[in-house]
Amino acid sequence: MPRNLLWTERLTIDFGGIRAVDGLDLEVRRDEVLAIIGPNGSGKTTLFNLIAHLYTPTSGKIHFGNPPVDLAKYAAHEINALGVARTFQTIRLFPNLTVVENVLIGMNARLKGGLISAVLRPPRTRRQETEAEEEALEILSLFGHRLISMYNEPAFTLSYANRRRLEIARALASRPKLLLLDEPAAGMNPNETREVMEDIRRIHEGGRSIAVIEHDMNLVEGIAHRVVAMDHGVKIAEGSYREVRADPEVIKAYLGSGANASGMPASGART
Amino acid sequence: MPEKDFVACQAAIEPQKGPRRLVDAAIAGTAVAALCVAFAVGLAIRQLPYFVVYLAAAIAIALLLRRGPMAGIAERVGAAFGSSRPTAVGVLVLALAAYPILFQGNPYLIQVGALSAIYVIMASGLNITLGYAGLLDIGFAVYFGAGAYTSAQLAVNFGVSFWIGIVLGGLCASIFGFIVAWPALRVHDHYLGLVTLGYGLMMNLLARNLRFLTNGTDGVINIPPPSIGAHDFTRPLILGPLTLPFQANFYYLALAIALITCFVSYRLRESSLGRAWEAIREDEIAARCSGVNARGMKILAFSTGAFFGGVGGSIFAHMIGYIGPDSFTFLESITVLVMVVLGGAGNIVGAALGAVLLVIIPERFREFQELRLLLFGVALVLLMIGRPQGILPRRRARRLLPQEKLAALSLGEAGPGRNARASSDGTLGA
Amino acid sequence: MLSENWAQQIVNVATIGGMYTLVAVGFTIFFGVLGLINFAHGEVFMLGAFAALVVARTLDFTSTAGGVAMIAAMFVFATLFCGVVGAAIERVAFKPVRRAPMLVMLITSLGVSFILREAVREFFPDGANPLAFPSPFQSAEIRLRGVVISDTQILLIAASVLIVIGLYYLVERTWIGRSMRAIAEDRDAARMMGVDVDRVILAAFFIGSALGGVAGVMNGLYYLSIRFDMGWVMAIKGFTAAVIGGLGNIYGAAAGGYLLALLEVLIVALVPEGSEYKDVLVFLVLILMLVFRPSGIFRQAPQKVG
Ligand SMILES: Nc1ncnc2c1ncn2[C@@H]1O[C@H](COP(=O)(O)OP(=O)(O)OP(=O)(O)O)[C@@H](O)[C@H]1O
Ligand SMILES: [Mg+2]
Repeated sequence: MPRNLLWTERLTIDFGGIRAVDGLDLEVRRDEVLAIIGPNGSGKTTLFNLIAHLYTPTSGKIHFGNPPVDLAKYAAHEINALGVARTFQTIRLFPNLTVVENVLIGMNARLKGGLISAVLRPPRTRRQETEAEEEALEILSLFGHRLISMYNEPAFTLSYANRRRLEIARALASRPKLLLLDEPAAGMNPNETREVMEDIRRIHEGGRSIAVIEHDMNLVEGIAHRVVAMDHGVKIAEGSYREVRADPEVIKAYLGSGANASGMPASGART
Repeated sequence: MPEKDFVACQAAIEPQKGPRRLVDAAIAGTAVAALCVAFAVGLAIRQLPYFVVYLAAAIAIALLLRRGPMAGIAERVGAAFGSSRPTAVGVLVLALAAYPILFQGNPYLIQVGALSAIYVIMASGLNITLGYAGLLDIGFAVYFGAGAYTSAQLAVNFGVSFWIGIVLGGLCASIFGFIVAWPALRVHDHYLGLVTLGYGLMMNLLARNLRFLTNGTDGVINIPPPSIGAHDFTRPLILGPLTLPFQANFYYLALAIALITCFVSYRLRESSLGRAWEAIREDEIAARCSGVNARGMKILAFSTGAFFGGVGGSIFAHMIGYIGPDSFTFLESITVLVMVVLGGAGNIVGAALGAVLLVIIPERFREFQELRLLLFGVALVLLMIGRPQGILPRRRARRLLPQEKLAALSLGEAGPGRNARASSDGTLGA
Repeated sequence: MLSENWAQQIVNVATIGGMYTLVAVGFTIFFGVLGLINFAHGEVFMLGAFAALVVARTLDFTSTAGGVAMIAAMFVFATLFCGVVGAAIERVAFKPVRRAPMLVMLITSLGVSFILREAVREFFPDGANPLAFPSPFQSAEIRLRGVVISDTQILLIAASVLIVIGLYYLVERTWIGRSMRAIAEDRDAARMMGVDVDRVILAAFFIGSALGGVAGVMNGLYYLSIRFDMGWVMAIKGFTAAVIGGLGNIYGAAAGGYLLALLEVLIVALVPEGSEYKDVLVFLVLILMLVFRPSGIFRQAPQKVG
């Protein structure tokens, strides 16, 4: 079994004049929680969009799985089926679908059946639907009562924190080998952030590799096995949280971008 | 928004048992019957002034039921519908079946009924494309035309039976849906509307010019009516002691297919396909990243919707006996579009209601032939300002939580940590 | 001979293209400020022609001087009339649905379009038939090495070119133009920056509709016949031109109008049975543009996700 679940090879993408990701070599190891940090506009979200094949790389490759396949050869929904699921920095739910329906969509790639079985609804299809709903409930239960109590409510009625949770639940419904989380704690208060941390830990214990983009250094310190720092589309540091935080390149990058509260905290952060 | 107690939530959608259930069924059945009678009365009124009074009264009652003192009644009836849908549908089907018997003295009204059913078929088709998948199609008449020309030409030139022609007509229409789905994969919203609009106009012009296929502006004439065995659809329909005018043949044909169409589109919506369509409508990128094959689903939505458009066109051609380029103009596309939006996009009963209203009301105002489109325009503007979501907007079915699973998860009152947080969330949530 | 023929065609392109351009600019302005495809715009164009007809029937002209005054009166009245009608439509019909989904606005504009067209057909004297449009010109022609240009054409070409230049000043140099561009960029941001969004949208409708009215008068003067349903064809041509230039891009629309006219003339000249299939090809261009160059032929904006 190779150590890496996903690795990129000189991955590059240009938007007009901007090179948002520049010759990036990055790996996500099996069974790890990798945190990706970097100042605003450093290309982190773009990296996720490349992995999900919402963008096609200008050059370079993205390998995934065992035996490895080149993700650039697959469409976004096929990548989901291969075992990569994600959340979005700007929450993208299906606002008029109910909470449970949102989760069921995450299973779409796995559910079988075409027009005929949809219309005739044979026992097999009915069973599949029941099992899907049970699984959805199980996934929702990860967040206690919070989402289950809103089971039949449209997603747009959820609170901000619950929307973020529902996005994670939907991604989990795809049974991903690799879960990509784009700033899961953005806009959350300290209590909620701590809870997100616990949730991510629990999801990881459930046997999933996770790559998480995050600005909150407490959260990064709390969950990441490894940290990669990016700036201007380039990987500038890699290693444990302590190593990366002490890296002069990283400090320079954050200072250069006008460090702020959401950026790199001063040394001696809270535990 | 504070989270509700989920036990209470569950109770509200628990299936009703015993007497309460019977009462619900009775209420729902009576309500449908009452609506049907009211509708029949509206049709029976001959003098226009009275009809206008009737229409005003109907609108007034509808408004009172929504906001006024009668809102409680409406709510109770709504709840009854929720729990006893089969009864409601059963009563409705019976009433629809009785319609030609009731109006046997008025073949014209039976014909209007058949036309309504044809438009119900088409509106249900567009409801799949537009209502479920959110794909704006302003060229729906293309499919109507494709279905009509296919089965008409097959019948006229090759003597192909209507029953085969209607299927081939539907399939041919789906090919036209398939064709427009390809550009539709790349464009959204307005742009998609304009693409389909251009497509509709282009196909209509082609139908005028490609004489070898369509006979040009002369159209196809003398399309034979359908027949079952020895029974020709242009002969009166004899049902035991009853002799109904020949229009009843077409009425029952169109009604049967309309009911099948509604059933199919209901099943589709409640399936994983329907869910995927709705996800694309809500957020295509999120849907793709969640494993929805957006390309495939869009093509399927266009083709399926178009199929029903073609079926409708096929019945129409064989009922009227003629099809020409003027039968499927831009106005036709707009009419079907408005039916869906007026009734409530995404809702099957809504789209059907929109279709029936848009066929019947203009027929009632035939004395004002000249002003019809003007009034249509006024009605459109007023409706879009007053009730943009349509008369009967889509309501989502509430799913019952899988009880056994819930018990197995033992969420109960256990897990103090999570529970404590759950109770404080009301203040934490943004 | 051939080159003279081509020169003649170019004159025609300039004439027809000017009309397309004026209508296209309206479409593009409405799309810019409201994100709306205004199906009623073709009808406003038609109203312009009818308004000018009313002027011509009311006033009387015999002398050449009277003719010039007549033309001026037609244009002024039709412009103001259509501007006011457009602004009124915005207030009565579009403002209430401004925040509604796109489909709702679209259907509203269709409703308005039915109302205007049918009202003319029903209530204008003899409105259901084609009506002769009087021309104050004596049909003087200028011959330049075999190329025939009527005085009407000179007027129309000059007018449309002048208006496009005027539009440039309006968009670049006035508060209305700047506000319109700000709203097209981001309506809420513009509001926060202190732009009076309601007023600017109203002004935009006045301007766009007035331009449509001008095109209507031109159409009457050129073809000497008008009809209640002339707006629909022009609407399709107009928004195709706007799409060619990129919806929301005013200069693009101006160029798009002339390009579309050129394309039509080329098709008729080069394709056998071209006039029969001319409109088919126009629709094809519309579809292909929307699919492959949705932001027009002049620029390409990338989409952002996630
Ligand atoms: N679709 C696009 N078109 C043009 N430029 C883009 C696009 N997507 C991203 N960019 C540019 O690429 C760069 C990287 O953006 P990206 O969103 O990946 O940053 P990020 O690291 O996620 O920042 P943040 O922390 O603010 O989320 C930015 O300069 C951005 O403007
Ligand atoms: Mg980002």
